[in-house]
Amino acid sequence: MKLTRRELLKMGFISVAGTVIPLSALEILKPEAFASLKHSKKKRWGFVVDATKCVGCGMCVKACKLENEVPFESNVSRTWVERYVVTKDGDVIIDSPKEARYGFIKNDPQGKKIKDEDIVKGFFVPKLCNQCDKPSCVQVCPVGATYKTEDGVVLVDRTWCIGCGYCVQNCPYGARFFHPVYNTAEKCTFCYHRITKGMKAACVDACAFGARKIGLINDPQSEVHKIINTERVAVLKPEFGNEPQVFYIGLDHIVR
Amino acid sequence: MTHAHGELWTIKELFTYPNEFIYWTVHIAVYPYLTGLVAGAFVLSSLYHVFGKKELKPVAKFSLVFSFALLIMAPQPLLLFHLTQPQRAFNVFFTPHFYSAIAAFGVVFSAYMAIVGAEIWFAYRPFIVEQAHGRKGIMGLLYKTMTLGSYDLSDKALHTDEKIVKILAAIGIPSAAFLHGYVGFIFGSVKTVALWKTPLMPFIFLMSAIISGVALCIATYIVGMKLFKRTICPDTVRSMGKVLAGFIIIAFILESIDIVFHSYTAEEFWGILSVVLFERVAFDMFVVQWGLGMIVPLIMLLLPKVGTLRAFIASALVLNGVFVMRWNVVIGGQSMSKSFAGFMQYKMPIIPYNLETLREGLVAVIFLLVMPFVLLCIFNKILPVFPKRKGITASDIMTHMPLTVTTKTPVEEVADILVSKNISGVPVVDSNKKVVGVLSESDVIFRKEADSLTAKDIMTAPPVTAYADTSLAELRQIMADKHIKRIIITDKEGHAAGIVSRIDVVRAQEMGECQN
Ligand code: SF4
Ligand code: SF4
Repeated sequence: MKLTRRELLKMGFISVAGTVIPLSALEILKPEAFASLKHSKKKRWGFVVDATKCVGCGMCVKACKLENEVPFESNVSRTWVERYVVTKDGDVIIDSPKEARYGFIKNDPQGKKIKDEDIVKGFFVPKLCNQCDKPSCVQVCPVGATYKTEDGVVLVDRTWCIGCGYCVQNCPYGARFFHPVYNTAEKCTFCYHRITKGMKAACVDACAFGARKIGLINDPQSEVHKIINTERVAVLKPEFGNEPQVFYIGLDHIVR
Repeated sequence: MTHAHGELWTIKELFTYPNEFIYWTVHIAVYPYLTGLVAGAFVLSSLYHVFGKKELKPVAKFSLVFSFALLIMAPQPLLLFHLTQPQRAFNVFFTPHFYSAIAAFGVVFSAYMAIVGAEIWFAYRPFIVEQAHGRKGIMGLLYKTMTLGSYDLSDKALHTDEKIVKILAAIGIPSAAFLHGYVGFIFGSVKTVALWKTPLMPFIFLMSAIISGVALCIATYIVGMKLFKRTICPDTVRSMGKVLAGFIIIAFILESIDIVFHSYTAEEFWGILSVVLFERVAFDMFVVQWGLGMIVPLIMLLLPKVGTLRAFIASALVLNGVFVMRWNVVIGGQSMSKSFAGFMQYKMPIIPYNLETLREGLVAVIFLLVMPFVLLCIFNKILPVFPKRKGITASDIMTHMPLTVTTKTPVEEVADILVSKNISGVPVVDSNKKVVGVLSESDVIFRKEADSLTAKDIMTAPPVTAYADTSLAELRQIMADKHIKRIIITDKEGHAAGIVSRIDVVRAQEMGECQN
């Protein structure tokens, strides 16, 4: 076969264009289009954390790790509890030892001893994935392995994730990590496997103090709907524009 | 106990979120480093191919092939070592999610690869065809395959080749800029990392890319030529040095603007970011990256009379500085906790003790940084990148295909030719096109006055001739011995192939092997 260079060049261009164009067509097959088809569009899962009720027992973390099979002794977790201690001198000491899976049992923030009379303010803040309405984690996934379901929960497809960690970087809340066993991106799912069957998330059930509530934001009957619409609630780091769907009662300005 | 990914090399200080670790490790610094070198090397070769910077000719092919070797290795930090599921890398091709800055990576990368590959092919086509004809066995087969069935070496074809190379090189420049600016965008678009999130990031990355690529070419060229015992062309080194200095200035301005802006606008995160910059990476950033990596080399290159050694040291400093810059951006960026209340330190695993520390540690990095040179050596075996050391011969310096006159040409006409073409001598050929004599200005001026004289009557015969592979020294010897001003170069059949005059010899001695 004899080819002129012009023909060769042409063939080169065609094959490059030929790869690019069908590849862009694939984009139409977004995973979220297939996920949770059975749920109505109006549904939107939301969460309320009443930080004023949290005592730092860590039962939610324990329940979550067991329920969702994140190895209990591993130093990562889908949910965690932070302790904030403000001293007379204006120092803010924050910690979350072992994600609080064993709870806070001593007055030892960051391993320091602080006299009771030196503490002016102290509280706990439970954290979890905010199931953002504009999830920056989903935005950056190169393969669409993480996606938002129609009812507003952000999930990861463990069979498709390539493990680039871009989503982990781009979550402002530190909600994501790599699953120690599966080695793929991992995060809180609001216990999607439970809530879609009428149960509550494991952490919600585990909290004896009613600090965690889950429900449908648009359902007038749900407790989260009532709280969000009648009380003064706040979200974490609104400046990132992620529109978090976990609402906090009693959030302090020092909480990030 | 199962450890979490990232835990083995991260040291946490004060308060960081439990799930925070240094997830993007040294490979994410090596990756932009390599793509940067690709872009820089390519730009250098284009300066010759597109803008015709003559002094850069000796490194044009070399930097082109080198950029290809680097390009092959550029995605490897991600594909081989960084992804926790490397076997799924091709998912990016199956379900690209184009909202992600890295989804188009495969496409951008392959397109660029195609451009560089094609340019190399066109630039080396005459060589490949020659080899395909001349070589036997495996190599012969390889070259035959590489011709892609195109054996046409006519002047017209070669001319077209040259044009195409020029066009590809021209398309290549914006592509190289895009490839690397895009890498900058991957970082610049991460809104959660304060140090990365700046619209300047693509430009900062691009400029540092170019300086690192040019510096690498300077250093490798110098080492390569020394290694193969060939002459380093001072003009070439100086010219590359100028390019390097120019881009250092731009890179420095961009990088400093970024920091000045962060500090002046002092957003919420500035408090902790300034701790990172001015305390935690201060030495790396201000001394190694800016001082030794930019300012010192800039001064070295701007002072007059840049020599080989100075250019080499300046380049090595730049290369080091840019690597440290990549490191500072990637690791420094992550070292500041998203909680704004703590820090993370990265300890690169040096001695591997499991698969994870092997993949993410020093061993892998050394592999990645050495491989481009290995590839360059392999490519050099197939497509020689350094100008040949063959000693200069007549064919390098002669005027090709000189005008000839025949024995029957009237003297008036010969005089006309000498005047109109502004030449001082011309070979005389017989009816078989064989060279039988030579005619110089003096032959014409001092001819006997007679009518209807032809070239044959006044030419100097037999002419002094030599072959195309006659060495420069021999040519000089012949000229001295015979007291002549020009030598006709013939092929084995005695047909005129060229002409070498005294000025050609003088010029060749002057420029040594740098003459092209
Ligand atoms: S909190 Fe983080 S992981 Fe969860 S949806 Fe928002 S950005 Fe994604
Ligand atoms: S780690 Fe997995 S889910 Fe996250 S961005 Fe990469 S491929 Fe997507």
